[in-house]
Amino acid sequence: MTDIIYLSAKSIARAIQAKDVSAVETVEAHLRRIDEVNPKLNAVVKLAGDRAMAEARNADEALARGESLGPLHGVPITIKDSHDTEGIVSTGGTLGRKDFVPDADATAVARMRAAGAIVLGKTNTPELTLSFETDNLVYGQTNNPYDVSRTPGGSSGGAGAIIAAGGSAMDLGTDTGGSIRVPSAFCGLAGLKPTSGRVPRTGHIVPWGLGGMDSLTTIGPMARYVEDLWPGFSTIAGPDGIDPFIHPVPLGDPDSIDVGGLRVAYYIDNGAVSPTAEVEASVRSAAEAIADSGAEVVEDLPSAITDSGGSNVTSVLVADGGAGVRRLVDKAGTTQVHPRMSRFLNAEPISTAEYTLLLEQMDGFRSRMLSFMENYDAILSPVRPWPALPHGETLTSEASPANFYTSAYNTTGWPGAVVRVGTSSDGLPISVQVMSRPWREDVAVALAAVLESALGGYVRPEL
Amino acid sequence: MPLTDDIIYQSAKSIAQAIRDRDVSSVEVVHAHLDRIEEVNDRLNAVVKLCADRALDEARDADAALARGESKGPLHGVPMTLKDSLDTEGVVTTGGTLGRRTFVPERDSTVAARLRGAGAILIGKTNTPEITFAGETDNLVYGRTNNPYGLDRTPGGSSGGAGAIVAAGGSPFDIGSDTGGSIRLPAHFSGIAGIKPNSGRVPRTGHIISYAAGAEDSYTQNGPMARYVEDLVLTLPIISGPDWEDPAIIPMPLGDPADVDLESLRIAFYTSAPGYNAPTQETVDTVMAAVGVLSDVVASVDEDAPEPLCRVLELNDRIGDGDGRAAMLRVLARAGTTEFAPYIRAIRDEAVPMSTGEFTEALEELDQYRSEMLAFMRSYDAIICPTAAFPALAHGETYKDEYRNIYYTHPYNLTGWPGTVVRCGTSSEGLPIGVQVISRPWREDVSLALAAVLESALGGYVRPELD
Repeated sequence: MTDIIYLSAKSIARAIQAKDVSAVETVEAHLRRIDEVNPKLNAVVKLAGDRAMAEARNADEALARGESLGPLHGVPITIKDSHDTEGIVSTGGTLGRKDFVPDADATAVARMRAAGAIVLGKTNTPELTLSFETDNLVYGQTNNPYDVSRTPGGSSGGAGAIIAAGGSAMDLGTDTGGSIRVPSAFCGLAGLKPTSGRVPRTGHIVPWGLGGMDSLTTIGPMARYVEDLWPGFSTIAGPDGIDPFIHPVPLGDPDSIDVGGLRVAYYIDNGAVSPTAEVEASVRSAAEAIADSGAEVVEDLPSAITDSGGSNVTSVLVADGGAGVRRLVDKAGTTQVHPRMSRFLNAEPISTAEYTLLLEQMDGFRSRMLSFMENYDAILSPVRPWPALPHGETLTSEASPANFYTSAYNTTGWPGAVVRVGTSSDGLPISVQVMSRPWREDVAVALAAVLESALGGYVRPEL
Repeated sequence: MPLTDDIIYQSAKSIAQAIRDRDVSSVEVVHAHLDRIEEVNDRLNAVVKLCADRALDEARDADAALARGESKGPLHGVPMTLKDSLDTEGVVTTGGTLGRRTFVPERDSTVAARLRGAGAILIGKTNTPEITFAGETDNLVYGRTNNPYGLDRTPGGSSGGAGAIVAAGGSPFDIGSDTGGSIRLPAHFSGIAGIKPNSGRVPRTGHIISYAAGAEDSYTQNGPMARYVEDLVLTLPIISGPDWEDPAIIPMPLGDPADVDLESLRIAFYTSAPGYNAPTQETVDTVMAAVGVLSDVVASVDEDAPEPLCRVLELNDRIGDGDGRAAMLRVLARAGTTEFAPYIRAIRDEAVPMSTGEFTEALEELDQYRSEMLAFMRSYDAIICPTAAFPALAHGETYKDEYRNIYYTHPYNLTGWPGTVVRCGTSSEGLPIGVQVISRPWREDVSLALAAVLESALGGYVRPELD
């Protein structure tokens, strides 16, 4: 089964369950693929090959006894290096944790493993996940499998690159301003940012407990196929009794969504940075595909987005002059940070009175967005106004305002799925995001499935 | 007429049933309550604005609708009052602050609209301290509210007008708001039942401390206050759920207290907490009486207090004062208020702003507190504890430094968990003593089910001797 590395996690699980292939064969195939592509990508920064093989043997033996750990029994995955993994170095991309081996898995990792998934290794992240490109002082820069001169995006860039290249069936990204959605888009994958309050951040380098910026960070699955988002998401969702912001709101089911009954707004240009003609055309073709499925599709842009003139996510991260980020750096024991951290650490603080006003304004933005959403089930838009850019260009002052395409929805806390819907003239993936009402991941995933089926979704890179 | 005498002490649920069964008309019921308000309000100063004409019009409409076989909902024809911090369309809504002395909202707050949509009839507004920011109910617009169990005492705050008039039989229920104990404390001081729902349960749209309160947004909840626990159970579902405006509201299913399996519950209790004023012996005895009742009903009862309680007072002050009370002053500025009540001036003058870096650190410590409290709750379904160290104090006492830490309520504004207060005893001076029942996040059903057990075993509401 040479093709197994391009199958969905769901198909792999089925094949293992049916004993068409063993977990050992599956894990071996993925480890070989990582060996093959990683010198070009630098996506997997730490391998746990021996443990993975041991677990695969156990998985096969269990299956022979008629036992299954769960829906991901024997499926190989990678884990973004910002998550603690028991027994495997977890750096979070920061030098202070260069040799840090956690005693316990992060909640989301523990849940994936309990469902039967096997961790092959860790994927690269920028320092503390705080960049839209994936590069750090511990492991260096990760490259995009569709063009190694370009970034896979960030912060879950290692995850994006290795999944697209067939080295892993699934990974757990994290998203504070777009860090699941941007690499999913730049690497042509499916990715889901869940609603704030769905997935515990216990054991993540940007953990629960960050006060005014706490609700921004969510953890969600990245995979080649939309059908893998729900098994990944439903495995990691729900309170863990530690992260105090997780609510036991019942999950929907994407299969029971009547897409024909939905109202979907879409916009091309958020007023900050205009998209390329190819991105515009891709969003329009996605809007048509959704309309063809019977949904009502309306071009409409929330006035809260145009009025806000940029990302308050970034402002709240730096509003205290970087004190909060500095505490994370100190907690990691890091003394030398990546130069890209300076925009956080050397920010000019606003006064406390201005800070509480900023928090009130974020609430006000959330309320206006919610009123817009009373009329719609979902919003379709670009993820970024361009496909993957050459290394370094995502972070320029001209490009940065584009962050608001994604970060607006970290402020609202709403869920959203990304899926590939087109290809640029340079052969790069072009993707869209489908954001849905709070707690309605089922709607976002159902619409992403429609787009994938109509417009093709994932395409293998020519590596 | 005995019916009229009696109906003012019945539950909202019974009144609704009597109206539905046409044992009594909505007009009669509204009249009876307006008469009662007239009788007691000069002593209580609890109802600060009446809307009698509109209420009687609505009552006539309600009776006419019923005659046609139509009902607006479970509260059809039932009178209510609303705390004056809640916007009420067409009825002056001051929030206890001078800048809004003559403010007439063009639309109802979400809770007012939902209750009226379910058939309830607003008969008047109840007193609140300025912008709800005190533990006693007194303001520059309408003055001071008195406790029906002792006029020289405060009914507590901030929902003190609500507590006093509901206890006195002038209204079957009211909607209070609770940022640090403002539903639970007046429920305790006036011997009625009240629930602070979970953070995220009830929209604050149209409340003077609205959504978009930033750092302290999750503290403030609206919730029902009534003489009987069954009316909390009746009204809470009506006001719960997203309104597409308050962005902090979560569509979490609300359990039914009738479905709670009491025998499976594990209860922790404590009778005092470090840093807080020590409760009176009668308060301790009342908590122990409640514990005694529950020990016969639930799976286990253990004396155990969450360790992080000792940090609440300091944390609450740091976060409240951290911005030099800029957030509070913005609320007052929006109201157009320039002259403040003495307790507002004191809050402002005592606040020393910290640096923004220190402030975000305090917010992080608050999150840490929440996680540690959650860890405590892994072993328990509910906590039984005092509501306050004392029953109703004499007017003005709560402002004194020595009584600063009498409120056993704040810890659960910081966690955001539900808490019901129900009367479980009486002090030697004849004052009500209420016990607080805290439950796990989103489990109002558990809190209410336990409160109902306590009410049934220990008597709950007792009429004040105002007559």
